[in-house]
Amino acid sequence: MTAEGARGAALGAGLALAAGLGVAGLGLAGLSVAGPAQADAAASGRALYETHCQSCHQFDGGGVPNFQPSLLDSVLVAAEPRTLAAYVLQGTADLPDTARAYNNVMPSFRHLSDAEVARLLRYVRGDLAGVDDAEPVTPEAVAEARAGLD
Amino acid sequence: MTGFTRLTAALGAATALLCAAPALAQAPDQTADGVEVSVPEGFTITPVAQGLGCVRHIAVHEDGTIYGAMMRRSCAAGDGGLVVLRDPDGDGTREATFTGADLQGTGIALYRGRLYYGTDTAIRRYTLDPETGLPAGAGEVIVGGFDEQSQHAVKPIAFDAQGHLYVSVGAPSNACQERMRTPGSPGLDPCPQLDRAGGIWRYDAEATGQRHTTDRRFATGTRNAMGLAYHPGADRLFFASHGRDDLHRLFPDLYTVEQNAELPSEEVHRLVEGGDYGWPYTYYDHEKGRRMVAPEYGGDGETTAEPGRYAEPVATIPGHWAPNDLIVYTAQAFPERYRGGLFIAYHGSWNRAPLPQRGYNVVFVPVSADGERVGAPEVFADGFKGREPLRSPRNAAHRPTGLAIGPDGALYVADDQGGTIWKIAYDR
Repeated sequence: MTAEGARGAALGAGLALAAGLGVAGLGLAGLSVAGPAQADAAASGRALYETHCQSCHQFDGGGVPNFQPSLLDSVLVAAEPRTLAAYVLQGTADLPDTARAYNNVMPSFRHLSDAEVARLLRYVRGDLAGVDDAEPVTPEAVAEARAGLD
Repeated sequence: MTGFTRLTAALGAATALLCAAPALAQAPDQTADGVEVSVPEGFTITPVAQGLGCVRHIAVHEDGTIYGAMMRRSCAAGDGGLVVLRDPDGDGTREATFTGADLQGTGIALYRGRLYYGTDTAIRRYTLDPETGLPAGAGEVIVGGFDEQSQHAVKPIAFDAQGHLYVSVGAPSNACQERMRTPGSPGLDPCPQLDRAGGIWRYDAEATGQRHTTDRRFATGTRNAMGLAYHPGADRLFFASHGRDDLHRLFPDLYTVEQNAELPSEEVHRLVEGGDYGWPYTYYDHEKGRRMVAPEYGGDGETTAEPGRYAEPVATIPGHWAPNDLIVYTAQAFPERYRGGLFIAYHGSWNRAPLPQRGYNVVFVPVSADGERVGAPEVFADGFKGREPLRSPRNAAHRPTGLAIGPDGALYVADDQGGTIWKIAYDR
């Protein structure tokens, strides 16, 4: 096939199929989508996870090797609530590059309220990681963690 | 017989649409783990090595020896950051030797008979033992002094015909925000990271002891140009770079989840001295066919970047496919339409959630002998991920990471998830 012929074939194929294959339509089939409205104060822990965490830690919390850690077998996720809350509130951006084990940076989540962080972390610990949550994360614990950072 | 897709881009506007092409794939060859990779009719694909670990960029010597770089020593199947695949007894099976206990990286190339290896902080060179094919001696530093960074730390390399070494230095952030990856945080203006990163640097290919310096910056505004290669007819390099992440998470009022999954474009460019390729101030929107002002710099998803200030892409691919390597097909074994064209390995997305992940393939961009794009980008080899839909890259069987041309004109494809190297040959 000549280069000109290849171009014609490619453009022709595109015209013929563009109407039949919606990219977003294919991707959305059967999946729930978290929109901005779900990120409000009343959002569930799952909705908060989908809005703030899912793109990096993945839908199941399993992470991406070398890029973002798994939450499923994490000592930190299973740690004492104030320790975990402090880590999430602070993020890893202030750590030196060489102190991070994964390529990407976790941002600070101080912009979330204490209640939102508590709901988010209860979802991560309970629903995703299956931590036996004898000491569930409470807004009060998050507030204590926040106070310790300020 | 399905699964052969084609990306159609309007010439000039560089607008990509995901479309299906006429059924061209032959019955695919099967790898040991049962994954079927489709290639166009007339081509065959055969694994030549498996279980290597996280092999990244590769280079093939004129004697057929394959050299592969490991991004982390800990993920190599053997002890070392360099794998050497040889067939000393000529039985058709390459034997893997792991070496380079002090090495880890992605960039690798053969230049004038010697091996160049890009660690995260230096470009090193090794002479090769003609008997074993292994590096002889401790090697030497060609360019050192690159900054340590966790994001986009690897150093892809390429050479031109005038004795220059090009090093892609990825940006140490997503979008040069005041607060990294933090919702609403503005971009630093000017972005100080561009002084030593986020661009392509040019050094002497053979002088030892050079130090990384802003003065040697050849082009700027490339967030993470993982694939770069010299096109002899055009007498310049082409490169493919990763676009930024997190438009929706960082700016939920401006971008939907669906826009976040598709935007921004992964861009393919010609490399021009002094060129500005737009990061972090802009990004390319292949759906609009325009370069846009980044939201960290006042953009709202609709505002077009200043015309003429930034380079226009040769081709664009939908967001997050992650171009991990690019080569120019300079051999003669493939049909004429492939000669001078670009092959790009897409590592595959991780950040399209909740939509399925995409990429995980090898794309061909038709380019003429003198370096002009003459056709639409098309998926050349597909099926590496081994399942559809794929929701997490963790569940992909293979992720293409490196490309090289062998002395027989075959295309070799490396993968850092299944640790496989394939050979794609044209048999008719």
